[in-house]
Amino acid sequence: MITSISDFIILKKIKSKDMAAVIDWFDTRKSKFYKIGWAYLKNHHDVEDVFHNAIIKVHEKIGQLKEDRYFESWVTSIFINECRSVYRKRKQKEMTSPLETLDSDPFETRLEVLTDLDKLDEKYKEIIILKYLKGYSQEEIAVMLTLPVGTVKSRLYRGLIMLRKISGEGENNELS
Amino acid sequence: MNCHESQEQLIDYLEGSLDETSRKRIEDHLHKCIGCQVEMRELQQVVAALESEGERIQIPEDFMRNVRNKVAKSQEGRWKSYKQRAMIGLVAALFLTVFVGTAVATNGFTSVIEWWKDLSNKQDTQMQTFVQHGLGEKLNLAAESNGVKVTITGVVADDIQTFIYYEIDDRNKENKYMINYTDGLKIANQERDWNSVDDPSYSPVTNHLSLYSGKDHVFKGRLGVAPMSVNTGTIQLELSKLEIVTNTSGDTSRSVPTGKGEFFKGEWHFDIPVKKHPSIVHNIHVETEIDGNPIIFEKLTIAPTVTVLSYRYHNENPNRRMEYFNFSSLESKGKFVYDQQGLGGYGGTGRYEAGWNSAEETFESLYYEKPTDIKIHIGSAAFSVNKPAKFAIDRSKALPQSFEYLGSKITIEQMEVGNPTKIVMTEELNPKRAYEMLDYHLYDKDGHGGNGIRTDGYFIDKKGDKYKLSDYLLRQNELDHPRMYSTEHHIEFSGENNQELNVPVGIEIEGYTVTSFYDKVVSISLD
Repeated sequence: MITSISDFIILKKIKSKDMAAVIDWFDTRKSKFYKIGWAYLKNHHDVEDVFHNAIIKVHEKIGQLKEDRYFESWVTSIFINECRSVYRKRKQKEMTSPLETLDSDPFETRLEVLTDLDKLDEKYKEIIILKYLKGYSQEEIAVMLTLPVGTVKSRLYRGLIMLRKISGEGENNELS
Repeated sequence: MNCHESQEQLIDYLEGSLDETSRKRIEDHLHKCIGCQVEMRELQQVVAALESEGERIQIPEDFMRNVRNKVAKSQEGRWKSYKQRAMIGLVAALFLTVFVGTAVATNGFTSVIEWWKDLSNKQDTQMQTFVQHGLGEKLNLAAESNGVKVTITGVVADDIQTFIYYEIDDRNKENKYMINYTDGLKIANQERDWNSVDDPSYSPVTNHLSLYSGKDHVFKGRLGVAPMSVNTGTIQLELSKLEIVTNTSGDTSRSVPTGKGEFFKGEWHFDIPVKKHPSIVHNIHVETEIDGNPIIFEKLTIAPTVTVLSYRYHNENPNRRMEYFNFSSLESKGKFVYDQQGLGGYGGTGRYEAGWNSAEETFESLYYEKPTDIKIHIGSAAFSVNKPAKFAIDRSKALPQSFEYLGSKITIEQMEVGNPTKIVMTEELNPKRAYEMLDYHLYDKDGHGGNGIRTDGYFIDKKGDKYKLSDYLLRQNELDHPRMYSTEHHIEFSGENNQELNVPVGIEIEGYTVTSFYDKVVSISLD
């Protein structure tokens, strides 16, 4: 997924353990990654942590990247992993202490479907985010999450059906 | 096509990724099947909603700036801990080499031994005081294996740490042995009785102090252990090997581990009874400032083994960051206790949060003084200054190679290529030197590399007198306004990927440290 000469150069820098290059790489793709992070965590500070952790991991583990063309997939899988672990840690905390406040409505209007997304199991939620918020193909997602393409497809389908059902229930409640 | 097949392909259909034939087939089915048609529309709506809501997620303006700051901060911490490791290496090196006469055959040498004897005597006295006050136990737990007898002679425990004193007697009259707490030591009940974090490498034993022993073939030492989670319990200490300590030229006082990791195998097991004694905690809130940087003293913990002062500070000037303070002493009722310089076992913790650095400083114990008010004497603060420079090392040219940094000459003297590559680097020390210690690292042709560094140098006091760093590192409080200058570096360089040969091609200097002196006194009343 190397898209340009500058990407090629930046990857070379990242490989030579240039931390600034890792941050710059994220900077040029910040809004897309921010969307993934926010859709997953709904909390600005948590997304900041995910960016931070992912940057450190990419910098540390660049030696493990097998092929340059998989760089973005590799970074995204690290990013998703970090979302997952921040999300789980938060859930654990919520069990022992009262709910932390999420960024309730930082945007103009309520993002209803994205809120409903939290009611889905993680395995559906993350695939839906990668597909419809980030626009990755099923094959790309399969590589990132090391899943067969068939599984990605069926999880997308089942996830969307469940999501539709959940938002449908919400609407009915509002009507009644 | 049936409904099941249609469902399988709906996602691809919505995505527009089906080929002509498949697309026609599914459209035919949708045309005939109301159920699938409804489902398809619903999915379309969800997807459209997801996509449009996704568009509305806006990244805050200052987002990347915060991320950059966060990364910079955590890297700074990493760098700091790296520097700390270098310092620990330095202290270890002190115990490794200082007591070998040849390394520091100076007039100061005798005083190092005297100082060490004194330190060891103080430990004995302290232990006796613990026992007198019922805070420690004198023990005589002995175990013998292959002619080597290990005796646990005492234990004292509080909320901060547990000290285990031991003695090893070689009945074979061949060697001196010491406990290497990172190798051959196990605490069998560690998982149950310590709040070990999910860290597989966690060990409750965190430090060791070698104590002077005047006898042949007898070694004395003190192990520092993290506090148990229970108030009364047992430490199940298991030793499977002991490290051989060499005696140089028959002088038994000059004992050092060989450093080659030569071990003597055996089996020594102990059940050490521990009773934890609570410390006195004073929560305080006293603010002061150093060079415009606010400092808040927050807590004074007075434990039997150590006194811990907790404080935090905020750096106002990013180009001249305050790295640490040197508290010259704590004063209570005319009694002064000094900074422990790592000899107090517990080394304190530090962290960075929301712009503030939290830190702890350890002093000798004030437990019996029961102070009602204390005076904190702030001696100095070390600042790190950013002043980057990069110098290439030309492998095609002979060594030594020199370059100049802030008017001082830095020279690569020797390089022995291997795994790791060993390098000797020296720094010129003259009255004009503008910096004290360098922040630097070597790098290979790919721009990376890590090094283990053993540094040596001098303290220079107010009057301009020079003292060898290794002689005075642990007793700086005896010197008047000492500045620590590095002059010699023994570097072990290894490339990032552990390649066969690790050849550094240059040195990168980030900046340097300098010390400012204050002699400031902060009075705090404890209620």
